[in-house]
Amino acid sequence: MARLSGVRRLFRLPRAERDVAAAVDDELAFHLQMLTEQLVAEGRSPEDARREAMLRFGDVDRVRERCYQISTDHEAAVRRSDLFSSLSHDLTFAARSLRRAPGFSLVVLLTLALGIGATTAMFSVVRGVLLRPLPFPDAERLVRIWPENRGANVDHGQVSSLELEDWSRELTRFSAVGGYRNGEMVYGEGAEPSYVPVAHVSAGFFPALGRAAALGRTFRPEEHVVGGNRSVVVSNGFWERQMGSDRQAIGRSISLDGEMYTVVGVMPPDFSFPAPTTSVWLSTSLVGESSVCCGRDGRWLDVIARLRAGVTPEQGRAQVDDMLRRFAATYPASNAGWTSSAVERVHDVIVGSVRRGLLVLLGAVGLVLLVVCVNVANLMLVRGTARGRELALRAAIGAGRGRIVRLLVTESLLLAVTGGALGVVAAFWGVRGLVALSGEFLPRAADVRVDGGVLAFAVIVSLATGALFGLWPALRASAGTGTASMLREDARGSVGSGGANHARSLLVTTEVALAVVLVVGAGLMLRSFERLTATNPGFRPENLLLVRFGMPLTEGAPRTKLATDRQNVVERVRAVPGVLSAGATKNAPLTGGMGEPQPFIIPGQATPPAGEEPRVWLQPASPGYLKAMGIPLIAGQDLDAVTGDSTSGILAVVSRKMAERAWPGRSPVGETFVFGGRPVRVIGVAGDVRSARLDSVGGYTAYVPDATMPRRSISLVVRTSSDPATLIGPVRDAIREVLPGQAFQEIVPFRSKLSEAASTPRFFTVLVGIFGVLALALAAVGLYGVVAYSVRQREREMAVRLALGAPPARVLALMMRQGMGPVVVGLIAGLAGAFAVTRIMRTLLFEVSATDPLTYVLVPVLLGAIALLASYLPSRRAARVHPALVLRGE
Amino acid sequence: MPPAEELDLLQGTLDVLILKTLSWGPRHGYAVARWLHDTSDDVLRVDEGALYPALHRLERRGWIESEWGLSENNRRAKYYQLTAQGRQQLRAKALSWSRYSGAVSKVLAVARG
Repeated sequence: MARLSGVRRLFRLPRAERDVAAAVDDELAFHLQMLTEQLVAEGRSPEDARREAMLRFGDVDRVRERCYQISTDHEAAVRRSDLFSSLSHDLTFAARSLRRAPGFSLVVLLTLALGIGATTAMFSVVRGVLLRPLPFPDAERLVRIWPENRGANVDHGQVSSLELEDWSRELTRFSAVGGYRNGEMVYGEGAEPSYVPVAHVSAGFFPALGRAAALGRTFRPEEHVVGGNRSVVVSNGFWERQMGSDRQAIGRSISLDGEMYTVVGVMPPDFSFPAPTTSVWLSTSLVGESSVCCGRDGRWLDVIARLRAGVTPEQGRAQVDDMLRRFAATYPASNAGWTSSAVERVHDVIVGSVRRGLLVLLGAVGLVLLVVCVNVANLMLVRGTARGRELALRAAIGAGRGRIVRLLVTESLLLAVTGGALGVVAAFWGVRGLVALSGEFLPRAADVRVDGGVLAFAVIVSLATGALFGLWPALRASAGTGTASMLREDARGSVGSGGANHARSLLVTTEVALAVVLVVGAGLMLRSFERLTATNPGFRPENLLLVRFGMPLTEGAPRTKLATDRQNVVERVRAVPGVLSAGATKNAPLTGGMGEPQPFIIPGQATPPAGEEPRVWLQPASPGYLKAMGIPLIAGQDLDAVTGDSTSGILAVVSRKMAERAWPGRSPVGETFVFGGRPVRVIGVAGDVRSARLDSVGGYTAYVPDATMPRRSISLVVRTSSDPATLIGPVRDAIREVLPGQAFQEIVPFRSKLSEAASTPRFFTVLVGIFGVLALALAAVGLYGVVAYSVRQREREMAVRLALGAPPARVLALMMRQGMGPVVVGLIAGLAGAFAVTRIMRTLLFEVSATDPLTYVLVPVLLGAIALLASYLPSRRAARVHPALVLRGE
Repeated sequence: MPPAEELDLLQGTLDVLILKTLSWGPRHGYAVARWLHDTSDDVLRVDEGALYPALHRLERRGWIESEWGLSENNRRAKYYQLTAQGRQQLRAKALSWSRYSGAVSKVLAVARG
């Protein structure tokens, strides 16, 4: 039977339907002919016999038709199973030959798993953050709109409630225009009330986003009228955590800032706008009249809008600009200067800040993958050479070149797919690590996961990797199978063919060049990060505790009570043992919520045109604030000297930048500027503070006594004599003595705010650093492998040299020179490559040029040193060869 | 067209007979037809053509396999041969067939008595 099937496969494998049909026809014809002949032999005439045969046979056409069909099915099945059996044969063979070389397989698999895993994890992030559309219908039509005041250098302004109503009416190229403002409110009552992130939203907000509530509804128009229902919509997360996922939640009351609100809707889980953490949405009409100024210039809302179908953001902007110019003419008091706008897709706004960084990272990880490919190709090449005899033997017994290439490529693909599978497992962990490492800054972190698309990517990358590192070595290895010569060629005394050595050198060069690019990138990031964290923020963050909370409003009490409460709190905290000093302000540096700087003018100086005045952040500060923060007083007096009476007008300490720019060449102490129609007298100059971002000082700041600007939100800064974390409890208790049941937004050592502020650069630095180290390690391993291999091949030659009297040092130098040659070429090529590539990193770097000389010197030195080590270790063996042993032995 | 049951019975029967015929060694379709014809004394009358779809079907199922060879008068002919699976099938079918026919004969005998 085995014989028959073998023969059948050799002689009768119809290639196409035509052959099947021909076979059936032949078979039936044979039958009819035999029958006819028999009938003739029985004495019938040929015609008669023929007729009788047809009669006995029955319906020939129908039989033929049935046979065609069955046989065609059969052939297809046979071909399928042949294909599978040859594939599984190849795979079995590949698996067996890889098992025979466990060391090689292990190194290759680990390398591949690292490379593919890192690439897949990075792609998950890029896919989740950059590629996946936002969870809104026709999300590409969602835009943010900012009014601009170019003259005053405000490019991302806000709008007032009053103006927003005009916008909704006038902007016909948008189907909905909504305003919103992020905030925090105290949720619940009792011993531990907590802050929840909220957003006040206008009537157009939910229509613009186009999502319905999962439970209940969003707001009705009448709920956006001042004095309307006290309704709120809550997030899915809030509903789960605070309301126990109650299906009957609609109509329940919740307490926010001590007032009761009715829940009218619960949003779906993937609805997270404006902030990922936003838990409660309220109507803008519910904001206390006290908090927001009511006029046209009470700019407090951010704008989101939906473009009508077919309208581009550019066309939308043209209409906004046109409207703004008309408003500027109609309402000069509030709108002068606000004559242009910026319109950007929401997706771009959300991910814009990280897009370049993520793409750079994806590029970097791609380079790592390339290094992996080169490294594995190198190993395959070495293995291919070592298997020369095996392959030659296969060729000698009849395997064609195509068959050998297929065998080797199957091996590569098997390695790649197995490595890829391991890589996907690694990517699962890697993605978690990436998201954890990204901290707060990475937008849409919740959308980052390993899903079908990512898996498809991993499969494609694995196959491409396999083809990349497998094909070339396979072609090379099979090309060398000039059978007779290979079989004859003994390991004895042979030096690997010149071609193969050349190929390996080329791979080493490539690997080193790629590593240089990555390590230079990592070096630049590291230098930049070091600069950033070493930068002086303008205050002393060590031993400093930050406490943020909102002061309670007492019904009926005058707003001045806020100031006295605050004063009491500060004084009580100062009495806590271990506290050196304490002070309060509205928003401490790096805590956000700075708001818009406001225009001021200096009497006696030329008045700039309306709308183009310089602007200043007025920061209310309690006595002792500057001292507690460690902000140096450069000239004049501190606010402590001010007794707090407002009869003498507002007194201020201005920042150094403001002092130098607004009163160039002279001391501003004693000078006056006019802010909001009131004169402000400068009594001192303080150092600049990086209040919004670590990498820049930003605009002007003027500290004014907090009594002049009573505010609810408060940042308490507490200078401690030891680790501030140990004082968190005592300080909290002290504050609650003054304000019973007070909730806190945060009580943290100030260091952690700095660390948060540096989380973006840290993320990029750590990742690029990891990629750089990976590339470096891979390149070192690759070089080591190549030199070690060449040492083993030339062992006998070295033995002869040593026997003839060559000093071992010379033999060592000879081997190392061979290893280092391609490295030097790689270093030079890599530096050139880095020079070209790192330009795209410029915006990611802080105070470091993309061509930072130190990096460009140190990296090649470091790589060179590692390369020397990687080629020295195996070369040492060549010099230690015992001539007699080697030459005598096989 | 005959009703389905009849056709099935006929097909099943034909299959067993083909398998039986091939159990003595490889032979081509014409030889199978001749053998069936001669052995059954024309009791089992089938169109000779109906044999071929049955042969191809059996091959598709893997019970028999085929090979082109030369016939006794030196013509190219397709020879069929039982596979191990086919031999097994033959045993099983023959057994159930004789049980079936035995049972039918028994019932008929009782009815007559």
